Amino acid sequence: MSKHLIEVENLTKVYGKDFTAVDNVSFHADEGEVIAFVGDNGAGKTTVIKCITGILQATSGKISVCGERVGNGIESKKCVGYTADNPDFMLRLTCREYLEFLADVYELDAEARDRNIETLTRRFEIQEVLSDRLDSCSHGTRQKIMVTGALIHNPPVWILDEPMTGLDPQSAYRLKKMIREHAEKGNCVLFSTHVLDTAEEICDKVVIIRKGKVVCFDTVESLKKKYGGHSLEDSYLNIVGDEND
Amino acid sequence: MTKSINKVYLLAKAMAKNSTADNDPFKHKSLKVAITVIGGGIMLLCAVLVGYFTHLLTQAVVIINPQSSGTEAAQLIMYFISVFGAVFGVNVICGWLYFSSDLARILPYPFKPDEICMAKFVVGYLQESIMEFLVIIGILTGYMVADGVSILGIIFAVFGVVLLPVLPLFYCGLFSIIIMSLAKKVRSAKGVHMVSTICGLVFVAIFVASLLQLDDITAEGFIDSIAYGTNMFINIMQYVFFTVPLLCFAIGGQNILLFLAFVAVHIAMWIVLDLLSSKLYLTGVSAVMSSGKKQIRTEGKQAKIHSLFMSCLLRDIKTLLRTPTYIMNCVAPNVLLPLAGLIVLLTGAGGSLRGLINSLNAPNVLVLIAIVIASALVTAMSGISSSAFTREGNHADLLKYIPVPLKVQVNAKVLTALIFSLPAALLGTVLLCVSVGAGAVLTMLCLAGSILSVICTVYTGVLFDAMHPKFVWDDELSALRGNMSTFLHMAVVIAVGVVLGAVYFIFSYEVLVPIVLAVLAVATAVLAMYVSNRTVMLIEEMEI
Repeated sequence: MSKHLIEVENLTKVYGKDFTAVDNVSFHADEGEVIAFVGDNGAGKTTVIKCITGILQATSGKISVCGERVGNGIESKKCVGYTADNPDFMLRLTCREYLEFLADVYELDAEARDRNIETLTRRFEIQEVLSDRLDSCSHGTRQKIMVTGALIHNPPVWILDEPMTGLDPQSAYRLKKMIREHAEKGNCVLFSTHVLDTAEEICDKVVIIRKGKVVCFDTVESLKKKYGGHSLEDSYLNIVGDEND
Repeated sequence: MTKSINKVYLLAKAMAKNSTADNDPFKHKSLKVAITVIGGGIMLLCAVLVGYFTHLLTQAVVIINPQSSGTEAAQLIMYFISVFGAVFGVNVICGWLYFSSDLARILPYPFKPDEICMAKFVVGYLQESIMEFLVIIGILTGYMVADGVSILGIIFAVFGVVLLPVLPLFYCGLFSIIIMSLAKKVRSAKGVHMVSTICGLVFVAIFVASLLQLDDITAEGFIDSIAYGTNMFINIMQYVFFTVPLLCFAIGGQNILLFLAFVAVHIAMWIVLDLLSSKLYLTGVSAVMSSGKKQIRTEGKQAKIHSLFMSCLLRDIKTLLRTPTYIMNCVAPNVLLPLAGLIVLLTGAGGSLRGLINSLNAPNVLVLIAIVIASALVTAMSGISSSAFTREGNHADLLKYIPVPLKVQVNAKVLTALIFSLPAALLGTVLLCVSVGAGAVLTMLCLAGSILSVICTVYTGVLFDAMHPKFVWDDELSALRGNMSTFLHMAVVIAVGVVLGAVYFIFSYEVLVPIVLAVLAVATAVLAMYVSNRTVMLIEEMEI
């Protein structure tokens, strides 16, 4: 039986006094799995991701990453590589300085950091920009550097928030390939997206979230069988239609 | 412990590098050099002036009371610096710790809460204290020159320069952590601004009370109170900012034990802040991030159709009014500073500015005071005029693609800056004229001069901004402080002050007023025409 690398149980997050952004959400991600987190704007995808990564504290519920409870120290954070939706961080550092900073954060030895930076930057063909400042790079290049940074310590759990935004077709293809390969090594990947084609193409399971609640958590094939349609998009629209009805 | 300090160092280094690297690289190297020289020159000038003042005051105190320790003057000025550090540091430290945009990006990394907090505190301290370091060097140099220099004293002073700004910021950090984690009602940037304003007013009240307590409210009476240790302000502040007397007595008496105590206190502060942040920091951060969104009621309001100009103007005004940092750092000081200055002057003169001028037996001081106050006003206003223009931040290209002529947009921004600047300037001018008993004609002339000055300043600010636009407004406070046009404005104001002073000494008072007004009127007309055309050209050339 595969191990739950991410386990979210009855997660609820309330903003301010009475705005419940996420309501009693439960799901899990196992070794080797790619999970797509799908939902409308404001459905609560980013809030769930922020709770898993420790950016936000859950109002109630339990989250574990690699068996470590999120919120209890930093052990769970060591297992996670996070790629945020907006690649605007430490913009005035050069790309290399940014990656070196993350290598220090995850305490990588000299050999591992050189190897990982070399391998990852070669895959995205961004070796030439390593000396450039992040704020002088295009949005897509920054996104590639952020992805490289998230994977620099080869994390068992890789979380991406809207990762395809701003990437050129070739880079988007490479990223999808990297997501699959990362999972095939026994890790798990959780990503949020609006692009259902991408979700269908690379994910094993889909979590559909609507108005803060999980309305579906299943494999793509099961969803298609259960809700009909030839594609994930058809099934999604059927589910959303059901919900609206 | 060592590992934790390493992590603090690692994070602080990255953040400091990120925040101090050139924000908007200059196209022209010469402009960068000029601005650096002007900025550095102004800071150095301030440090030298403060040092010279400390030197004179220390000599006066020692002559008045040979039994005094000789450190009182230096202490007094350091208390002022500490008060400024504490009052303005609350916003900076709290902003750094809880409201900076990079927080959501740092939290997913394996840093402990206290490591993040301490790293942010260190960066906040370094950024906030650069000017303080220079001023403290000036104070300690002035004091040591007056009281005698020793090798040990110099060594202690070096540590003092680095460590003295820590205590006020330590209070700010302590206050921020406690407030943000425990006090739900003030858990917002606005709440912190409010509390820091109250703190500032308390300090001002203590200072005014210490003046009122004097038997003889004159400069001599004030210096006497310092020399004989009866000054209430000093007597209270020596407990609040207790590291100041520790350092001063260590340097004055070359006392190693006191110096070690001074260093030990700072180590203790680090430990306290570290322990407290490990327990409470994350609670506060989480609470801030989970606070509900502020909503502006728009339902039920009928949509109004505005002209292009009015629409741009209203948008700029609403944006500024809904930016607390801007209100607290630019608008509030503009309103409060002239009033506070006038109150202090009136108090010092036993009720009237005319009394002060008479007591100084120098009627021409009137002109100098007017110039100084006008300069202070104009300088403070530069913050407003400069920030109003490039507030679009990374979206400044919006100026170009909306179908509104650039000239209309520039004029809307000029008018926005005037709306925020003029009332304070006019109020200050009227109060000044009433206090000195100026007649109606002179008052009207002064008001005209004031209006022209502000218009000139606003147009100059707009031009500076267009020449050297600043687009990163993620951290409002850093953006306001980092705006180079403020430094350029100060240079212009100092130059104008020098010219006016020279004109006054060459010509008579009767000649000065019409000359100043005529020059201002011509300058305003020329600037208005030149700036609006030039700014439009610069925006068109701007690559964002």
